[in-house]
Amino acid sequence: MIKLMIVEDNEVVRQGLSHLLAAEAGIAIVADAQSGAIALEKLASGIGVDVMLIDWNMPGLSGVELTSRVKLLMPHIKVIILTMHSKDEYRMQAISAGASAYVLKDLAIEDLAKIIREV
Amino acid sequence: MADKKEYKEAGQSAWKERQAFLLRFSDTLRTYNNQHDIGKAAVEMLAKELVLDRCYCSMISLSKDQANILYQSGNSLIPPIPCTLSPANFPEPLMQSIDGPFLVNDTVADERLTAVDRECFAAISFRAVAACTIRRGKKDPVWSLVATQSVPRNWTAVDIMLLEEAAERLYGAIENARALTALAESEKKYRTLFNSIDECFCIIQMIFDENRKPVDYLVLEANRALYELTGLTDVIGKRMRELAPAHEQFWYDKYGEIALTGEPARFQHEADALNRWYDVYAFPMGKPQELKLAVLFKDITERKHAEKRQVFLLRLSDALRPLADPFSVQNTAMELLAKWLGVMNASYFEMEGDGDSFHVAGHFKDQAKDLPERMRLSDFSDSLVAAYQSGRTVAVNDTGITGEWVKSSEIYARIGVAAWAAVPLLKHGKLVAWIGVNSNKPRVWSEVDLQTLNDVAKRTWDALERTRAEQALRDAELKYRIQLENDVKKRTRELQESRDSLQTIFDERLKAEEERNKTYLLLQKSEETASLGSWEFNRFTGQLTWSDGMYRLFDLNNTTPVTPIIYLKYTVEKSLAKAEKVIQYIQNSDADFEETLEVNISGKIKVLRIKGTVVRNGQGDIERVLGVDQDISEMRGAEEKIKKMEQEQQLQIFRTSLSTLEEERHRISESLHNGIGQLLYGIKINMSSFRHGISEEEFNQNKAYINELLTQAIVETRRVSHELMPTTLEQFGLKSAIDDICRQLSGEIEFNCHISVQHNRLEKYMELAVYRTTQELMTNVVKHAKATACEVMIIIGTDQVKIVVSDNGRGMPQESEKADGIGLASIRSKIELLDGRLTIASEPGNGTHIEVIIPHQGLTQKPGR
Repeated sequence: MIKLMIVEDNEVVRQGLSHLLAAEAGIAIVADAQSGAIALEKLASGIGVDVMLIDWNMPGLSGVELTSRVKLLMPHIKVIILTMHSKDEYRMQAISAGASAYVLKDLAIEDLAKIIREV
Repeated sequence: MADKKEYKEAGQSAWKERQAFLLRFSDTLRTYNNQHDIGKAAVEMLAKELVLDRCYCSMISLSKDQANILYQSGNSLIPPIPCTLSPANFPEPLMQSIDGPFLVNDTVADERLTAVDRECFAAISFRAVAACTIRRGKKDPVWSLVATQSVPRNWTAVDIMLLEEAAERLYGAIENARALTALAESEKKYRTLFNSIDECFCIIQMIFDENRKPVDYLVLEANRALYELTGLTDVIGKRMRELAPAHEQFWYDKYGEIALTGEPARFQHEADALNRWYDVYAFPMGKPQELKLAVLFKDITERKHAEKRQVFLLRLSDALRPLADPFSVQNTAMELLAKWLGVMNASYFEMEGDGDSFHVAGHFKDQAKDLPERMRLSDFSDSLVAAYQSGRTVAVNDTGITGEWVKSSEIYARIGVAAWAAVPLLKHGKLVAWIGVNSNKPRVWSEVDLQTLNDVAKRTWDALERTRAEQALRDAELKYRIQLENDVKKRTRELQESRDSLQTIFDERLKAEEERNKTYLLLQKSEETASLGSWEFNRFTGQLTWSDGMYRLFDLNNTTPVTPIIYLKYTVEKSLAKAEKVIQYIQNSDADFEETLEVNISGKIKVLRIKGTVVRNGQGDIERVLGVDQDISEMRGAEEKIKKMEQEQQLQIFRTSLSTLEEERHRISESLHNGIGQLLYGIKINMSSFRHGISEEEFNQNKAYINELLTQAIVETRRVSHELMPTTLEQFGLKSAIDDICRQLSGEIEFNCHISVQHNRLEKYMELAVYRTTQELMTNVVKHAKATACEVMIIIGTDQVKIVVSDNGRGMPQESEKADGIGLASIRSKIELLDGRLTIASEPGNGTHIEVIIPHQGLTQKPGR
């Protein structure tokens, strides 16, 4: 079972993703956070997380910055950057920060679940 | 002298004879008074008595080597001796005669004689000589009696004794006669002098009483003048008291003092008894105990009277001089005259024009009756009138005695006039006035009195003439002064007008001059500060004149001569063609010109802008060309700098605009991405739940949720759209638009928005700027301040707009203030482009106060920004 944490400032998107991904087989939503800071706090509290789904655009720590921190502190956690930006520069930036996958927000839930399982 | 005893022994009888001769000799000599008679008689008697060939006496002066033969007598055996002999020719006799009688029995045989002696004696035929000499002192022979023979003779002692005695007696007789003659001559001279001097001279002997008080004097001698002066006939041996009993004691005292003290004295004094004034010099004579005085004196009565008269006349002149009117002059003159003469009245009569009438012009009376005011000459006797008209002075000493001027004494007795005198005054031969004085007792009018009358008449007349002339002069002066004053006033007025006019002209000129100087200084200063110089080219003379500024521009000494060609010298190669054109313009152009040259001045490249203006004369010919050269190098540099700055500003505006645009795009992108995009993504995710096998309840829940999300998406789209173009602003104005922002942003933060409009609606771009600035500041508060309340105030003034946003949030960190914080840098740059300013006051924990001021005018001037 893949333990997943969703970090998304937009509440509609965060709740929608939690609701739909929780229904996917082999994925367990262990935590969600509306900002990078809260996410780091929850990680520090000892929650076991395998994969983190992080929004690119957030107030405070951006998705890329949070990725860098997470990969520095807990390198075993796989990070998937979720964004609406499709340009390669964004993708390269995310990969450089340590993200395992770069996913556009137009992807179907099934495809997203498949990537979570594969990373 | 020879010893008489010896002689006696030689022959008593002979001596007796000789003695008888000597008695006879003396008796004879005594009969003569004259020395010459005595001398002649003496030598004759001696020659006869001693049977001499020649006897003579001579006066000797050794100092002159002269022996003058005074008297001689003898026969032809020895010819008469020359008048003068030289004693030096008879050295030996001279030597011997110094000590005593000189005797030579034979001049040829006597060995004592020198050859010279012999030769000289031979020359005058002397063979025997006996000389007896009278000496002064012991060695100085002065007189000699000489007996000579033409043959040798043995002189006996009796001969010598007789000769010596005779010499003594003769010398004495001659000297006595000479003294008597001298005395007689002296006496004669004294007498002559005594009687010839004008001054009176007398010798007196003082007589004192027992108390040594001088009481009288005896006249011992008196000269002719004294008799003449005093009229006395016999004074010698008379006492003065006897001669003049009333002679004042003063004279006795004064002479007594001189006699006692022996001190001579000179003095002037009046002898009242004699009515005379004397000038006296008295000195003691003879022995003091004789109490004799010589008195030399003269009568100075006339002089004294003349002096007194002169003093009176001076006093009269002094009294009349200050008087200004004729009446006072006449009265004063008459008063002084009457008092001086001691008469009862004095009148000044003045003739009138008809030559007959006369009136009393001035009068002074002392107990006298008044005279009629006007009288006529024709009423007086013809002789008196004739006397007056001929200028003759008339004086009557006693009116009681009838005569030429007094026909009847009774008339005078009635008016109390005992004596009178009148002095007429003629001018140019015409009787003009006369003075008359009356005495109430008979009086002898002296010359001085009449002369004084004459002088007073003249002086009074002169004073009258003077006062009349002065009066006329005063009248004329007054008239002239009035005329002069009028003339002066008129002239002064004219001069004042002229001066005012001149002053105005002068002031104007001065002002113009000052202006010119000011202009010149200003020009110099301007030339200096503006780096320019001016010049003038005279087309007629071809002379170019530079101002100091020009010399400064070309870095030349201001005495350097210049011509238009100078431009060629300094112009850089690429501007040479232009320089030639400038020269052409200066020398020949008939129109104004302007050219820019690049010149090399002392190795420095300057850009000169040259402007020239032609100046024409009255005939329309071009006379001069005036020009200005300006160093525009710096101006050019400045222009380029401004251009660069403008370009940089443009670039900045472009960057800011671009940045603003980018921000705007970013914001819109954010809004789309985070707002609408996320909502749409949320809808998409939720729509994934509509799968097969979904329960109806779940379907309905999801449907409702998606519906809500779609509504949110529509609202968000509207918001973004609204943000892109605030329609409220456009449609309802700034106030409504700001209220709208307040409403939209109020939630967690309570916004209190106030807007005060003191000015009509702003231009559209300005409204938009105010709106955007406020919106961004408020959005910043929402995003970063963590505040609970925020005051927003907008004041639209007449010349500026003020926006204040003040929150109670966490405040700004100091470094953020420096860096203008998040988003503030972009707001600040936009405000600065509008010439506005942004200030921040913030302390951590105490909120943030941001104030923005944007000038209104700047906006209207730069509407394009």
